[in-house]
This record gives sequence, C-alpha cells and structure tokens, in this order.
Amino acid sequence: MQTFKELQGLKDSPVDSLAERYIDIILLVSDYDVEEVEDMPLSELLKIIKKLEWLNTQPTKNHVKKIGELEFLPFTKITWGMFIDLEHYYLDNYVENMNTICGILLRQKEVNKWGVEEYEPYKYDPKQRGGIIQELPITSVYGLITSYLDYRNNLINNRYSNLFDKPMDEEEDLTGIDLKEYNEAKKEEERFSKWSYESITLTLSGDDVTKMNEVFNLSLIAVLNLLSMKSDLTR
Amino acid sequence: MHIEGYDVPNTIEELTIEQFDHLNSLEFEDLTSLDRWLKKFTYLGVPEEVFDDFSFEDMTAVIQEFNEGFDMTPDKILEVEIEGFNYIARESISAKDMSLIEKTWKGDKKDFSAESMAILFKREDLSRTEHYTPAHIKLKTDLFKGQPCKIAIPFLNEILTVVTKTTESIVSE
Repeated sequence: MQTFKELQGLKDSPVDSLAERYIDIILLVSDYDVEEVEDMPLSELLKIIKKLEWLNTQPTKNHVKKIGELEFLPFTKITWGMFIDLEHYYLDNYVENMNTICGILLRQKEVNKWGVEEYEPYKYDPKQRGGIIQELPITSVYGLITSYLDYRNNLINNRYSNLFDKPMDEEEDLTGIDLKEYNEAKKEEERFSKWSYESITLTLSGDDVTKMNEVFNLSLIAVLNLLSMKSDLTR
Repeated sequence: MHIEGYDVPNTIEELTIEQFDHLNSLEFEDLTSLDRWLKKFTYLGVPEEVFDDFSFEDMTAVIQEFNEGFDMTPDKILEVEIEGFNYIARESISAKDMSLIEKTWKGDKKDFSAESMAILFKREDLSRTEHYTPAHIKLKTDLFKGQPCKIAIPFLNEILTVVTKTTESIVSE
C-alpha cells in the first residue's frame, strides 16, 4: 500500500524529465540499486517501463474481508460520527489517507450472549489501526476504498441528494461586481461546509453539546432519514 | 563554401558545436525564413551588406549549397581527446544522462549540443561523482563548444528519437 501511495505521488508531481521519472518508478517497485538503474542504457530502461505498464491500471475491485482477527465493517453499519471522519479523510486526499480510512472500517467482532454478532465500537485511533495495512498488497484493500466511494457517492448524489448541496460551479469569465459577489458566495459556502456536519449534529442533539456523542453513534442511514424527514416537514 | 569571397563553414567537420548550437537557436526566434538565413550567414562571417545586391535566386542558391554540405548521418565518435585528456562516450545513452539532457532541453537551449556532449563524454581518469558535478559539466561544455559538430550530430539524432518516443508514450499514458 505504501508503494502504491508513493507511486500515485510520483504520478501527480510535476516532471522535469521523463527519464528521471522512469528511474524513480523502477527504483520504487524493484530491488535495483540507484546506480544500476541510472547507468542502464535508455533502451533497457524503456523496456522495463513497458513491462510495468500495468502500474497505470487501477487495482482490482475485489478486496479481502478480514485481516487477521479484524473484519471490515459492512457499510450499512457506519455511524454518523464515522461518516464525518470518513468524509474528512476522503476529501482531504483519499489516496494519502487510505490506511486511515481502512482503519476506521477495520473492527474486531464477537458474538454476544444473545448469539448476535457485534462489532467493536469506534473508540480507537483509526490512524494507528490503519498502520497494520501499510505493508499489505494494495490489491487486498483498494477495492474496499472504491466500494466505499461508490456507496458514499450513491448516498450523496442519489438517495439523499436533497440533503447535500452541489458545490458552486467554477466561473471563469466574471469581472467587477459579479466576481466580487461570486467570491463572497464561494467563501460563505466554504465556511458553511467546513462546519456543516458539526452544525447538523448540534441541531440533532437539541443544541445540547453533551448529547452530541449520542448523535455521532446513531447509524448514518438513521440520521440521513431523520434529516430527510425534517427537510420534508419544513418544506 | 564561399560567399562573395568569404569562407563559410558548412560541413560537419568545419562547423563547431558552438556554431551549430547558435544556428539552431535561431530556429526558435521569430524570424522569416530569409531573415533567419541572413542572420546565419552573417554569424558565420559574411558581412550583411554582401547580401544587399542578392536576388531571391542568388539567396536560394547559397542556402542550397550550404545545406548540401551538411551531412546529418555521420558515424558515431565515442572517443575524443581535448587538451591532453581522453573523453569517452558509451555507445548507448544511459538513463541518468538522458534525464540530465532532458533538463537541459527544458532550460536555456543556447548551448544544448555542447552541454549534451559534456554529459555524454566522460573523462577516463575521473570518478562517476566527479563527472556529474555541475562545475565539471560546465567546464566541459566550454571545451566541447570548440569541437566539430560531427561529434554531436549522431547523439542528437538519437536524443531526438528518444524524446519523440517518450513523449508519445506519455501522451498515451
């Protein structure tokens, strides 16, 4: 996973020399030493890069369900608090935060005295837990990230699209007063979206900060249903 | 070749790498084709006023003669002696050398051929680290400027082919 992240970082960085980028890619994914690659005839370097073309393809969508004793939480069991954290790490840079996102979803599981399977509550450091997947092959977890993104995008863009405002379109041709108004509206939107989840949580807890944790622990679907209901009733 | 009694170097043995680089740099200037050739000939030693009485046909003839003397497919020279030191180039361009050459291409193209040769030709008695120090490359760039451009042309052909291929591959990526 670490190699995949570094590879993505390389691809996203500006390039001064293509040969240098190829050298970096080969050094990242192989056991060659630096001088061996640098002194390699260019034709040989290009042959190796050709063989590594698969690096440009997306890893498989399949993923492991368990890592040791830990299992990935089904998305239907995601709570509102977990969703806020997932949104934060996803919007920040989901490739860079991939292990933390996995850390949020990796849980211990046990059967309680009623014979019902129960997942470990979200009371641990997801970054620390995500560390255990750092050395796993990217193919074992990448599918989880994309599956979560599909699930999340379906909620935001389809099932509960009435609750999520679409971001303002970029305007390129504005000048003078129009541009000033646009920039102010954009700033207001950014200010609101930065705190919107906390603001919603506070509203749902009846403006009682001590009850916010209860709301964080509600299921994501329950909260979205609740918000939809409120939105319908106030319309 | 001669233009109105003035010697004009036009073969790859006569033209130095510095002259070759200068002629190439004129290709990047916003000039008409005739103005570019006038600049080339005056740089190579023909006074500008010589062309005052030149007809279009005369001009075309000297341009054609200049181009005919220029062989773009000489054999590759892999060993050069300059000021008592032997400089050796490898038959094939290495990955590191190509990465440095690409950076030179993206920077100031003024001394591109001379700098490329300074990267490719390595002094026998120096270590790898010494070879790649910027000060040493700069010193060699100046040394190679005075060498005939027949040394640079085969390598430049190869570099151009590689740059085209890699550009195509990044476009299709």
